[in-house]
Amino acid sequence: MFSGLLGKYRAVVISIAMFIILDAGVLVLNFYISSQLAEDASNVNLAGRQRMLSQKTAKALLDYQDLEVNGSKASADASLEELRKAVALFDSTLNAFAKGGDIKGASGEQLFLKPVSTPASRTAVDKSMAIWQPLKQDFDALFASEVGSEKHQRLLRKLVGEERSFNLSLLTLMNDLTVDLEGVARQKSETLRMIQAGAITLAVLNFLLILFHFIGQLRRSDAETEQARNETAEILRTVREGLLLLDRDMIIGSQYSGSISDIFGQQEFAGMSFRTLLKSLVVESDMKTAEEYIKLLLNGSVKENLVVSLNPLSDIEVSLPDRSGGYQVKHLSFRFNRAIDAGQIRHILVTVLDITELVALRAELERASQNSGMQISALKELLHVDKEALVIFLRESESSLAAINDILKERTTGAHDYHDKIRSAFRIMHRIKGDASGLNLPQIVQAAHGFEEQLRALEGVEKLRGGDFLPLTLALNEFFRLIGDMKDILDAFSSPVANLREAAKRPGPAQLDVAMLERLASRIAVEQDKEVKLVIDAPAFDLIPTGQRKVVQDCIVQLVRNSVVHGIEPRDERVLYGKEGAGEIRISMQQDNGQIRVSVRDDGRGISIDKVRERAVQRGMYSQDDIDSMQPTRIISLIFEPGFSTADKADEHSGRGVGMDMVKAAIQQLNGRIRVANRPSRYCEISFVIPGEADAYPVAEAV
Amino acid sequence: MEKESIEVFIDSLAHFYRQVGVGEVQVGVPYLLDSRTPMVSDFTGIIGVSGKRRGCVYFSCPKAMLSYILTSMGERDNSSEHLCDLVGEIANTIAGNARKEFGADFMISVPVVIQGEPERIHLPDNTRCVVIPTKWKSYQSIIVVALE
Repeated sequence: MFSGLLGKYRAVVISIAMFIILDAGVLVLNFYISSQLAEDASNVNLAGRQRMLSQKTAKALLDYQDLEVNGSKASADASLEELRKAVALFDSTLNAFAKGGDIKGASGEQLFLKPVSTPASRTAVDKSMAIWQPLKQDFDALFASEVGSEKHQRLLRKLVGEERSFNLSLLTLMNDLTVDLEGVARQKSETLRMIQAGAITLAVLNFLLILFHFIGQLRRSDAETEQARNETAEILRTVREGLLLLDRDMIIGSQYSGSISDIFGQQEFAGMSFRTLLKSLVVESDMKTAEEYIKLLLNGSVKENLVVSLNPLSDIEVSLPDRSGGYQVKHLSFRFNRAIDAGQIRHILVTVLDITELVALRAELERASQNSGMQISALKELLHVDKEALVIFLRESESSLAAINDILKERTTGAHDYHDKIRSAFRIMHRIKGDASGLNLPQIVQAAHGFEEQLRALEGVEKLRGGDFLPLTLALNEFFRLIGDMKDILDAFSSPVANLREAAKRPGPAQLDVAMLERLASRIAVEQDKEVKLVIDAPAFDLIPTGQRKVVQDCIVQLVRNSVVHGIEPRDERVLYGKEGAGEIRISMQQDNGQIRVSVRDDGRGISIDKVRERAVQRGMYSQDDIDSMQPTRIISLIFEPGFSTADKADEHSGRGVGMDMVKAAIQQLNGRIRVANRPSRYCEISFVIPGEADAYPVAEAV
Repeated sequence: MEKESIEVFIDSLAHFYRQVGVGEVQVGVPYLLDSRTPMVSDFTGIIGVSGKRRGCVYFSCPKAMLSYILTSMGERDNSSEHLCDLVGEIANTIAGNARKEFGADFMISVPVVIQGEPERIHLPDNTRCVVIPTKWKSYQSIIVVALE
């Protein structure tokens, strides 16, 4: 880390080091020159003293000469002593100036004096020495001679004379020395000032360098910080995850990603407690577990990945208010991670992911995998069905269901309206069932059968009320969904889909679906343990107006079903009556005077008048008296009335008494007439005549 | 959609009428409604539903009916504001009852009241809604249950 710091602040450290070295250098130099100056000052003082001593010596000599003659002995002796001291001090100092040596300072301290080095001083000292040496010898001789002796007197006179001759020269030389030494000192102090000024200039420059360097670096660092902050803000704004930091008290930090607002709504989160954020979104028990989990994470001794499974918020469903006042359900996933800085757990980083789409996708996948069983069986069913027919069937079924819904929607004024609704719905549903059966779509047949069961149950309810229809409405919804699913499957597995969509737009089949009728007849026959063969002779089908072909085909389907279920006998019974084992159903279609006659004839047991009578009474359709008064043709026409069926038990193919009334209603809708030709034990032929392309007969008649 | 869930909403409405003491409501034959074409009367109270089932439930009725109820409750002020409050109150009663019945399975929002404006109703687009026509006196109102 230290080397890192040094790296980052290298320039600054170097600058500061230079500043210190420079200052220290100047300081050392200062000390040195100051000591030199002190030495020089001392030299100047000593030189000055020499100047003074030269005069003092002269004065003391003259004083002594005077006192020796005229003064007392004591004063003469004192004067001589003073002269001796002055000479000794002058001599030692001059010698020290010349060769260096210890001398006595101004205040009596011992000093070491270096020999003078400048040429002017040297000259002055050398000249002084030349003058002084003989004088010194004379002084020494004077001091050695006995006071009052002739020699003493002679030497004194000689010295006074010499002093008068050389005193001025010596003074001048000492003055020169002083002046020169002063000059040297001034020179040195000048140098010192120069050095100081230079050093201060350098120090200031260095300081400015540091300052500019620092400011530049601060600016760069500020710019980098600003850029980093902008980038962080941009990341937080853009990142899809909700990111926030929790401190040890589970308080949200000042920085969090924009997604937090998207997820939890617009508000200020900084400083909010985590508990407040989740209040009303998470149940209390989960909240507590979450808090404990966070506490565990804050505890450094617990391994983070060992406690991950304790996170209670890894997938929670929350309901957040949306703008329209309702609730928006979101699935959120919270992840908690330690934010470690310098080995300490400083914060918990909370990552919130909106996984709503993911969960929806997962649910969709689950649903798809659940449905796949259904879809595969449905697919198997659909594979062998003529696609065009199937598309038409699904389209028509959807509009039939919509028609049932319209029937439900119609206003009611009384209980009879409810029963009308039930009957109408019955007819429509029965047709769907017939078509589905014709196409061999067991799932739809089953659903339609279930729907019919519900209608049947409703019909049995006394004092029907609107609310009783609710299960039926929901079953209708399910039926819509089933048809929708089939369409989806068809879309998914058909290619090209566009062709089918086109087919769906066509108004009706171009030809009578012979294959479908054969499949239908043989399937029902197998289920009923009968044998049947279909003979179809329908060249006139394309003469039927296109919009009516479907209705005609539906009627044929219903009549064929009726023949197999009610007409054709089981093989044994047929053999007993001398008939062929396999029953025959003949479908024919002829054009006659612009009309089209369609007939379905079977060689079965025919319609039993007695059974019809019995059934009609049993069903409560008519009283016994009414029935007794009816002609056989009228009795036969009862099979076309709603709710009539001669089958003992309602199953997928018969027994609801809906099929024939549907045929009747359909033929009436086409302005046609129905005829029944019946011979018990031999045959039954139900035919209808409808107008061709142009004609329309407003007659509906059952014979 | 379960029959029981829808019945809770119907019962809640009946409960409201009993509460204000204005007599029984007649329930008509329920039918389906394409969710792309919401159907509303003059005033509508919408409650959002989430949780186990999602979507919304709304009650819509003509202005005259609300005025009648207000009058029968002794309220003279028939301003739109009061009518909105009343339809909101009806929706609230339905919401409250539903909350009680469904418990934690459903989250029921605070009702939103609109006048006309069927475009403000957002129905889940992958299902058909169930419309329950109700009749009280001579007034037709509807409850629409639009749940996934």
